[in-house]
Amino acid sequence: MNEYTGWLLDLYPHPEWGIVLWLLCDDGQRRCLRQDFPVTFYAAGPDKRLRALWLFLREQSLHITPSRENRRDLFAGMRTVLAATLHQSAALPDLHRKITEYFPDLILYDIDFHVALRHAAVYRTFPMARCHVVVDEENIIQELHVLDSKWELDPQPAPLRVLTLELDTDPFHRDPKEFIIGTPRGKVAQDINDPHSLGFLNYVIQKYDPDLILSSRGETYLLPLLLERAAKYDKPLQLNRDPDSVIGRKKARPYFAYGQVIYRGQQVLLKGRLHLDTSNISLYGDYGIDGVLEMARVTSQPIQTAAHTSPGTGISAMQVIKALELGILVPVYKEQVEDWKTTAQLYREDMGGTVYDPILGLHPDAAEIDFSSMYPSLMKYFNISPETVNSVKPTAELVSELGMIVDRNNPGLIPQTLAPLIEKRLALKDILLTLSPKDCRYERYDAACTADKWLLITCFGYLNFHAARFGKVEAHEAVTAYSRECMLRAKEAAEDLGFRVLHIYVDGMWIHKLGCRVPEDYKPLLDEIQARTNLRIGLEGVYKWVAFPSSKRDKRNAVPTSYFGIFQNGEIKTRGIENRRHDMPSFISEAQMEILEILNKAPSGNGLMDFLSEIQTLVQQKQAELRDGRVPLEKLLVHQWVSRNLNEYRAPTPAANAMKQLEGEGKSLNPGQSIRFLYIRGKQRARAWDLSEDLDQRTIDLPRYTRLLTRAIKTILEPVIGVENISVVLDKCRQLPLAM
Amino acid sequence: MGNTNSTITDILQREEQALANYRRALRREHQIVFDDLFSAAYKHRAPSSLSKHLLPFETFLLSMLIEEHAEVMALRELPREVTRLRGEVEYLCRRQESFELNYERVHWLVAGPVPTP
Repeated sequence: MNEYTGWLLDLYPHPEWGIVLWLLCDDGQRRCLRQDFPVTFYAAGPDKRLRALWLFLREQSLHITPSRENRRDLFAGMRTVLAATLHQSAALPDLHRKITEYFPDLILYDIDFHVALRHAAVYRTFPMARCHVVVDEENIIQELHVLDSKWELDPQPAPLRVLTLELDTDPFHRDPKEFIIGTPRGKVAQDINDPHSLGFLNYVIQKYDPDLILSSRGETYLLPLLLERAAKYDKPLQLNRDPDSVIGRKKARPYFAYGQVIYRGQQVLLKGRLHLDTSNISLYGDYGIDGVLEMARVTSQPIQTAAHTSPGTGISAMQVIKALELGILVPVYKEQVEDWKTTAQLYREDMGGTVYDPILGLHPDAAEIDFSSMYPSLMKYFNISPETVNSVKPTAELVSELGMIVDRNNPGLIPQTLAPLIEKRLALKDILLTLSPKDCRYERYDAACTADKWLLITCFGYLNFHAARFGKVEAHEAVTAYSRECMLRAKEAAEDLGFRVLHIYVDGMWIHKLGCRVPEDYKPLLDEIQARTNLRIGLEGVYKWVAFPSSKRDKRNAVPTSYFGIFQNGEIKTRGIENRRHDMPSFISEAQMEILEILNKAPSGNGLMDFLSEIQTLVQQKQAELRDGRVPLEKLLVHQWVSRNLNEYRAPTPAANAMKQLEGEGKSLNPGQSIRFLYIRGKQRARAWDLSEDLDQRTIDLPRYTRLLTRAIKTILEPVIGVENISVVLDKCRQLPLAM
Repeated sequence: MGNTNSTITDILQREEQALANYRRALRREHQIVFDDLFSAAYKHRAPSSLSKHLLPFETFLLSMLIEEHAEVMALRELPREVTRLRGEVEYLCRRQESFELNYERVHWLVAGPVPTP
């Protein structure tokens, strides 16, 4: 017997039996271990059909042990099911497909998720968990103990060996000539068309033996190309650490989430080592590698899976693990539907969060306060879960604020899943408040906090998601009902203490009281709200001034989602205005930020007019730069997400025209991918950036860019100097002599 | 916004749309008034939504009334504000007179009579 301690890198089913675990051992060795890990799935339905399934399973050439058991369904309660234990977990997906085909009338449980989640439920494992294992001579695990917890705030980092792979240019823009291999010793460029490059890459991988291959465009371009070349020249590319396994490939797929189409490129999944393509991880820009590792850690999904799946899949994985731990059956499909309601009931209950119309204009001495993780906290505190809302259990009671029946005595599945995650995020937030952004730990904590935030954001929407296994509309409605009640209590508390409520947006509130300029001035209010709602509320910051610009449609009203302001510490915050829009050229966004930087020089909201001449000079400079063609074309680029296929566009929008131009060069775009183009004069109105021919700069549609610039300037200046004065300022800019 | 229910903004826009012919028939000067009234309803969408009233248009009318009455109240306050400001001006004038008198006295004591320009 041997004993090893180390980090769990990868876990997947072995094609023959059991599972494979890769351990980064403390002695520096990377060990491939095996474990016998039978998996059990269940089926429910009429006795006759279960009998037929029993016979079907006996006919299979697999080692299956069927039995009859009583298990708990979250909604139907205890029920008799057929349990089938399979020793070859790798064969489960195929078996699932066959059973669904022959027995579509049966309800299947615990059959369609990754073996890593089952392992997590039994052994509390997760990617990068510190593990102690006892193995026999054939490296088969006899004992496994996890030494740390996924909820640890400061886990011991694993000593990952990282190899980077990059291309010399964006393959969509121009055909790359070289790919660059990077290790801590340095970087080497290799000719992408040279067959010897494959041998060199194999040599580097064999010598350096990386744990993680970090690439850019690796999945969508480089590795598929290299694998194709390897097959052509019969030189196998040894990317896998596990020599017995084949490289996993998944096709590209667009999907619809939160009102937009997201494109996920094809995936290249390795065994025994990790491959992450930074350009193919949708939230990589938000949280980087540390966030990916945190996402994998708390959801217990394999790292490569966690990197590619949405936070919704992550939260679903956490629910599955919790259900397995509690002995609750996990259905393949959502079984429950919305309860019957009268029209009046539907009208009363089917509502969202609280959104006010902000008070138009500029407000000095204002503050922003918001509830920390409001919806998940509500779910935890009020025990909102699909099985507790409108429950028929005797412990359920009417909640007067909601007019709904909620069982608050038996902890629900969702609150139990979320509780440690909420605690971890709040603890991370507390740590971040004490750290300086320059602290070397700040980035890691911030990434972990952002990853946890995404999971918490998604958990509310998942209650109502059509494919969520444990979702129910009434639970979703209960959360928003509680949130509305809490926001009204917070508003009342603020007004009772003499504050003026400027704006309310779901879980945040903007307030003003003359003379309140330091965080201590808001402490009594925060305590009062916390006492009235039982939820944790924090001060986002105290503004020197905050402005709510007017709507483009109606100048008399403000827009709930747009505001900008400057905190007392000089930090600028903008939401919903041009500089936050991804389809706005960076030249326009930068001009808007530069104006805000000038306004930042004013010590308070009262001295802003003193900087008007400086702003006029800046605007004049920007207009001249644009007119004289001194703005680099990259800064005029417009990025837009493609929402449909080219033939589905009804009107020839600039984006559709640019797509058509690319199609002409054989570069097709899928829904969810981003397109880059410039506004040009003429019928086409746009020119795709990724065309091979160079652009004639004289065709740029300057009036259009000038209009965009003027609009962005107006957004900032209107609340500052008033709608009636804005044209005077802009006219004056045009009359001033041009700076050359 | 709910899953099935329309948003309060959608409902308000539909009501405005339904009255398009009514607006069209109004004289130009009254169309401006009509638009201003609806703008008031837009300003109070959150209370309209939170009231869960089965006839939302009634809450829109109430929003218009609230805006109107807020202006009435502000106008009612106006004479009082004018009186307050007038009092303040009178007080400042008196202060100035007394200051000038005192200045003359102090100057006379220190340097003799104030020279006339």
